[in-house]
Parts: sequence; structure tokens; C-alpha cells
Amino acid sequence: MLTVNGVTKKYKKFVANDNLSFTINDGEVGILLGPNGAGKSTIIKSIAGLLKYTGTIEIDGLDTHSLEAKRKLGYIPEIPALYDTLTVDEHLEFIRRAYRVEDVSIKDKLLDRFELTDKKKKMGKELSKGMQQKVSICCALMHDPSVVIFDEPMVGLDPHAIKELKLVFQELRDAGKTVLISTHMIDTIEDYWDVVHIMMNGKIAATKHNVPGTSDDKSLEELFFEITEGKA
Amino acid sequence: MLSSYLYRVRRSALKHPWKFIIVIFFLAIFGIMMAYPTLMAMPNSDGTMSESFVPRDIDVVRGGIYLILVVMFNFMFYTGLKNGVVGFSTADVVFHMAGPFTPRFNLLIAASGTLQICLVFTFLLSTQTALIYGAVGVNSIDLLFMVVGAFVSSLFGYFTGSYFGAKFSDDEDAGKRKIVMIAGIVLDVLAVAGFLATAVAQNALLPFSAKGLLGVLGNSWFFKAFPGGGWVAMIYDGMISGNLMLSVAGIVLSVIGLITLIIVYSKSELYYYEEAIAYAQKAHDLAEQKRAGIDADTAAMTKRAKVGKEKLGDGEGASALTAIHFLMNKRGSKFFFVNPLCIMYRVITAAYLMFMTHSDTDNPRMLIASAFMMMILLNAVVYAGGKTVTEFTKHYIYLIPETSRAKLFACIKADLPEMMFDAVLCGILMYFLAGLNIAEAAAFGLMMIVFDMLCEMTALLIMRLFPALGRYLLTLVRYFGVLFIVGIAIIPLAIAVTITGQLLVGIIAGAIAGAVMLAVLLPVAAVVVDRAEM
Repeated sequence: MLTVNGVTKKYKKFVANDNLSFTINDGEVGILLGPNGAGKSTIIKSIAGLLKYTGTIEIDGLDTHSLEAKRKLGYIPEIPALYDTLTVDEHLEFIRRAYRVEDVSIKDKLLDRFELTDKKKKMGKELSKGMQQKVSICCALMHDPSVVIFDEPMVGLDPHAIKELKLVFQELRDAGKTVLISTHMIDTIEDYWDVVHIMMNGKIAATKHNVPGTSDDKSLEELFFEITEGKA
Repeated sequence: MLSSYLYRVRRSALKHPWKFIIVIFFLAIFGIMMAYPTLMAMPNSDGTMSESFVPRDIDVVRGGIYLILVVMFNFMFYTGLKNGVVGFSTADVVFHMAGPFTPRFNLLIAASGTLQICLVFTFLLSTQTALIYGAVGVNSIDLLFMVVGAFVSSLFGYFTGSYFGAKFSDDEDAGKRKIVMIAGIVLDVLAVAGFLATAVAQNALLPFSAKGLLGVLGNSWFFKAFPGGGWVAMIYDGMISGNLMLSVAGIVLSVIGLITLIIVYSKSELYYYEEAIAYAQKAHDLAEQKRAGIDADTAAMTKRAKVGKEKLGDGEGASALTAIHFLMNKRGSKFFFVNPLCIMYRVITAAYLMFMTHSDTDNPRMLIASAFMMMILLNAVVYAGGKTVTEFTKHYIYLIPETSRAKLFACIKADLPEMMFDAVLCGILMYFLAGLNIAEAAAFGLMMIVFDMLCEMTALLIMRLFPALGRYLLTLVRYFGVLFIVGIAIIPLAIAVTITGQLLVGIIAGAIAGAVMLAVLLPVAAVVVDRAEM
């Protein structure tokens, strides 16, 4: 479970996140939806423990800066950062060892799943941005984290990888994991979200739950434009 | 177009007024560097000359100027030939290349980028004042011309090279580009061969006296006639040697060269857009990564790395970092303890020491000091921008569930074999070429390890404390910050040598001072890394 409670992040006078609070439960896919500059990446980085902030963020009840919380977290950044001279296989092996994962087979399963098996001997510098993003995803899933956060994960991926990634979201949810995805592309999340937080100017402007069988008067898209543009 | 460019410069300056302070700081450094020979030439209070004073020999100075200007021309010529027309941003691509402007007109933008590249290299040259002074014995005016001349020569070189680079940028023109490169090499070989032949004829080669050879070079017509660098050097050569015709010839040739370049650029149809776009995209990606807190590893050495039979060694948790660093080292140089950049720098140091050893110097301490300074200056580049420093600009390392201290030590551990191997090389060079005895050379090697680590920790702190500085600015601040910290550690060395007269005692004092500073900086760096923001 991921709990964000009263988180504020300022860059000098600019308030990127203003007293944010939300919870994503186990087995839920949460979405942070918002226009560019809404503060989505800032809260994602705060959850990953990469920024300082006021308030509390807990991963399964553990402070996000603690080593125990880091063991439970998987983070896929917006811009992948691979080592230029390590191969795809070595990246995954490095993460496996760094997180002390004993199951060696998980590496091949991930490579196979994201169609990277034939690229396993390629170095980071030889990969396209989309391929680098796939490696980044594999690295984040390597240690079987209980909370996985994705920052704009669809950017740069080919249609097959997007389809595969959507399946991964659903599988993670079915496995009882907590998934949080930051995106500004509404049409890519229509079929798998459980809760959407629409962000605007560093705040959560609206929250919408996906409850099967209930008819809501506004679609996600309508709600989004109503908030961001002030019209339906 | 020009107004939009000036607007961007103005806006950036107003938005970041602190950049003015940094510019003033660098101008001050430049001023100090230029004043260095004058300061060295000041007599002591008792009227005697300082030990570090190097007498000025006009023939040697002339040779030094020709050498540096021709080398700068060549360096920038080949860089321009390889890169073509660069200096465009993605915004330039969208608004100017796709806009209603001719390719020739758009070259104005590239000119500003070229100016910046040449300015950076010229500034770096100006920071080598102590070495130039030690080798050539210039005065401040000579030095100023050397630096300004090097800038003009670099521009000549870059614009000439980038013209051919742009003209033959297509894949099918790769052969023509190669022909230009070969022509450049032939010209270089001719100049060097001509100079050597003159040296042999004058019996100046075999003693291998640096000053003697520079004296021959200063009178070599092969270097005077060398395009760009030689022509510009001739202007000052004529002034200091009292040969007005030489200065006039230099001015005439330089102006003809400049006019030719302008005509060639303005009359030719250059199809450089594809390369310019590729370069702009690369610059954009680097800026994006920088925005995301990642300092991309752009070292030339990684470009040559190939996957071989090397395997990832043992290590779990933080030790996995040590394992991947060893692997990357092996991939870059076949041996985990060899840093190719260090080897290259040691070759330069060896050449410099051989040059200085045969330069009729009667001041061995000056030789040791300048060799030591050169090693520190070069190692500051290697370790202030090394793997440990760049590692902590990537997010992975912060996510790994280990303490910051453990991760930091794991990275340093991976650098130690490289540092130790380099220290051995430094010790050997100092023993054979600078006259240190075995104990002094061993202590010197030990001190280099301490200083290398000091460079690394200082650079790491600067990187994490000032992440908002631009890429180039951060590199310069990092470099000078490292030199400043190492400079503090050198003070006890100087004091100990002055008091005891024993070099060994001084080196040990320097090593101990460095170790004490390191003991303070290491935990500070661990805390800073712990609190770093990406």
C-alpha cells in the first residue's frame, strides 16, 4: 500500500506539490493524470525517495527513505538512464545482485516478455530510447516489488510494448501489488485504472474511482477537460 | 534571427544574474594566469631572482608560439572536419532550418557555437600557464598573444575543418572527407619533417634539448607557412624579433585566409542540415538527461568500448556496484586497473618531463614542481569526472537498498586499482625523469592516490551541491573547485620542504594533509549523497 500524506514540495518559491494526500491500496492501479507541469513527476520522484519534501510518504507503512521501503519499491523514470557500456543482460544481473534476488530465472522471463532476449548482448549506448525504456521497466520489476511507480511509461514505446505493459499493469494488480502511474495521455489508461487523481497546479483537483457496474455521468476525459480547461 | 538570439542571451543573463559572478570569477582566473610570468619574474626582497624564475629566450618563445598555435589549428581543424557544422539547438532546427532562411544564412548560428567551443579550449589553454612558463619562459605579453593567437588560430582551424566536414557530410562523400583528412596529415608530416631536417642540419636534434629544438622551430619556414596557426604566429614573431616584414606577411596571409573562408562559405552550397540536426538532437538529449538529473557518460573512451569475453564478477548489494565498475573498466581498456585516459595523460607527462629534463634547466625542484602540477591538473580531469562522480547522478544508485556510505565506498573501491596503477606510473616517471629517489618516488605515488581520492570527493560534493549549474559551467566549477581543495593540501608540503629542505618530508606532509582532508570529506560526501535530490 502507498500512502501519501500532506506532502508539499517547493522549488524556491514555486510550489510543485501542495499538501498532497492520497492512498493507493494493494491490488489497485492508481493514475496521476494531469497536464504538463501539474506536479506529477515531482510526487513520483518524492515517492521514489529522490526528493526532499514535507509530509509523509509510506510504502507498506515504511518511510520511503528507509532501506526496507526501497526494497519494496520499483521505479520506472520518465527518462531511462542506463550505463553506456553495460549490456542489457548485465543491467538486469546488476539489479538482481544489488537487490539480492536469488531467483536467477526471473531475468530471462523479463527479457523474453519484453522481447529483449535478442538484445541482451547490446550495450546501453546501442539501444534506442524505447528499448532503453523497456530495460528500465525490466530492472524495476526484477526484485518483485510490492509497490511499482511508473513516470510516463508509454512515452517512446512501440505498440507491442505498450500492449505488454498494459498486461503487466493488470498482472501486478492481480498479484496484489500497488501500482501508481503518472501520465498525461488519457486514452492510454481507459481500460485498466482503478482510481484516478487529476492533478492541477500541484494539487489534486479531483479523484475518480472506477467502480464496475456503476454509471457515472461524466467520462474521465470530460472530467479532465472540465478541470484543466474549465469546460466539458 | 539575430535579434531572437540576442534576446535569448539577454533573458538568460537577467534570469540568472549569478552567472555574471561566475564569469567575473573566470575572468579573474584568466587575469591571474596572464600575470603569472610577471609575478614569477619579480625579484626577492634581497634582490635575487626567485627559484621559479625562468629566463626568457626570444627564439624559444617564438618556437613555443608557433608550436601552440599550429597545434591548436590542427586540433580544431580535425574536430571541425569530424563534426561538420555544429552548434545548432533543436529550436534552431525547427525555427531556422525549417524556416525561410538559406543554409548559408543559418551558418551564422553555427558561428556562435563555434566561437563558444574555441573560447572554452582557449580558456583551458590559458590555465596551463605554469606549464607553458616552465617550458618556454614567456613573459605576460607573450602569453597573452599566445592565448589570443590560439583563439584566432582555433577559429581558423574549426571553420576550415567544418567547411569540409559539411561539404562532404553525406555517406557517399566519406571518401572525399578522408582525402581532406589525409591532405591535412600530409601537411602536418611535411611541417614536422621540414623542421626535423632543419634541426638535423643545424646539429640541434641529437642533444634533444627542448629549448634548442624550440629555437629551431621558431625559425622554421615550414611552421611559418603553416595555414592559420603559422600565419597568425608570424604577426607576433615579427614584432618580437624586430622583423616588420614578417608581421606584415602574417597579417596579409591571415586576411587572405579570412577572406577566402568568407567567400568559400558564402558561395558554396553546403548541405549540412542532416548532420546539424543529428548534433542538435544529441545536444537536446544531453540537456534532457541533465534536466532529469543525469550527467550522461559522454567520455570518448566509452564510445570505443565493445562487448568481449569479460564477465561480471562477484558481489551482492553495494558490492554489485564494484563489480559493474570493474566490468566497465575491463570493457574500456581490457584491464580493470587501467584507465586509458590516465595512460594517455602519463604519456603526455612523460613527454613533458623528457622535454624539460633536456631543457638545460639547472633547477631540479622546478622540474619536480611542474611535473607534479601537470599530474595533478590531468588527474583532476580524470577523477573529477570519473565513474564514481557520474554514478551519483543516476537514479538507480539512490534506489538500491543499501546505505549511501556503503554505495560510496563500493564505488571508490572500484577506482582504487586504477589509482594505484596510475600512482605506480607516476612514481616511476618521477624516479626516472625527475630525479626522485626510490623513497621519494614511492611516497609521491602514495600522495597521488590520496589526491586522486580528494579530487573525486570534492567533485562529488560540487556536483551534488550545485546541480543547477549548466553543463559546461559545472564542469569548470568542478575542475577549479578540485584544484582549490588539492591546493590547500599542497600548502603543508611547501611549508615542510621550506623548513626541512627535505623533499621526502614534504611529500609525506602533503599526503598526510590530503588524508586528513579526505577523512573529513568522505563522511560529508556520504551525508550529501544521502540527502541528494534528483
